Amino acid sequence: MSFFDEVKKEVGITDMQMLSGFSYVNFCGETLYIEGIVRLEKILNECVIIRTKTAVIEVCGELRVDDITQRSIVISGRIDNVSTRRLK
Amino acid sequence: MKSTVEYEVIGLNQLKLINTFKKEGVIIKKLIRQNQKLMTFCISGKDRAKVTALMDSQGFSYAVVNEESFFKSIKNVLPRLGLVAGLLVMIILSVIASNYLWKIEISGNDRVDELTIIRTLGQSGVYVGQRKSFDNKQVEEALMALEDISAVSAQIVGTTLKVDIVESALISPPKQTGDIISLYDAEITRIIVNSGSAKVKIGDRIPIGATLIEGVEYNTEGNPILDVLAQGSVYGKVNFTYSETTSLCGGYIRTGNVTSNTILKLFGLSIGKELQVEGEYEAEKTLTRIGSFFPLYAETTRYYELEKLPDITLEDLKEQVKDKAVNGLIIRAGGSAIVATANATPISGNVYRITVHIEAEVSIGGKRID
Repeated sequence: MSFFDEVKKEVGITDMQMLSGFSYVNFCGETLYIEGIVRLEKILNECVIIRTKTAVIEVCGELRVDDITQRSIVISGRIDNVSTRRLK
Repeated sequence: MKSTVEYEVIGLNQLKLINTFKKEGVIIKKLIRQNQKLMTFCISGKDRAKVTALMDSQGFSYAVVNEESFFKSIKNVLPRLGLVAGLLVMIILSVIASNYLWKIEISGNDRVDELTIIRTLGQSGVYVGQRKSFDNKQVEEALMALEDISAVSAQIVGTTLKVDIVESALISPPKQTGDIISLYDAEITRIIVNSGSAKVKIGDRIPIGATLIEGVEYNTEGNPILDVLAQGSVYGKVNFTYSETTSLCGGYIRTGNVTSNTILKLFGLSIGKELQVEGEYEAEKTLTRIGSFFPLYAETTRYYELEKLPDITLEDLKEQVKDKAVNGLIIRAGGSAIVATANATPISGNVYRITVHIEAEVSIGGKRID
């Protein structure tokens, strides 16, 4: 069982919620992995804005994008702030 | 090794392009936006056609900045051909070298000298730098023939020969008692008693092992009164025989002229030629290791020129052997009033068996050992 699966089971999040939602993991403020992305809104050295189905995630710091796939993104560097704004 | 292509893209609307890549399932790595118009990123080589088609369709200018693939890696290495060749040679040499013996480890020897063991191994054809193709059993048998060794194990581990020795148990020296006994069959000629009681008198013919001086003091009635350590000297006439087979040939001596020749040996191959020496000579070979990494040896042969001495007469030969026997007896047992006679029995040609009979007065006493 994976870490995320265990957390989901513990907290009570269903897979259906995951499909329409997002999740991210911040590793020591140096690497951020976000899953569930829909579109990239902005990519700059100081700021990356990502849109998911239900929210907009803004990442600030000294950033570089290491990996982008259909549903995920890996941002590395110095991550100062990760903020989430829920969409109505 | 996966192939990757790095692109430099010039144009606005970069986010739209990235989102299009994402939507089409193209994985983008190391995305760097230099500014609003310039960005670089890497993609897998298998997505190259798709990416270029998408960029063309959206009107972007792009250029391939870097490309990595298996064949490109090989091409990068080619200018360093010398290094590659050197590495290959090292690998081949290592593989070849692993078939040879590089070290001999000896353990378990306390009384037996390590040099003796190495010399014995050398005589069996086992030495550092030799191919690992010898018979372990033969090596073990050769080492078992050495004194003080009761068990041997010789195993090759990698390029090391591990020799484990089990030495025979030390037998504790025998206990000496107080009596002095005779070491020879003899006729007693002199007795000197310092302590104890003489059990023989002058003129007695006694066998080997007979008690000469007993470690007991007796009173006038002949009853033992005190145990002492027997001390004293007893002399007797003893007969000795010495035999030697020899010839009338005078033998050879060195003239002083020496010629030497050196051959290098590497991995069992010889570099250099054997010297052809004429006439009579004596050869001495020495083997010296001169390579610290490779098993490079220098075999030096010294040829000593010999001169033949003239043959001797039978009488001179008998005298020579007689003198040798008498000197040997004196060194071994002392002796005086020596009478020696030599007889010669022909064997074949100028070869004779010389037998020397010696009668001498020697000290015959020794300690009894229990």
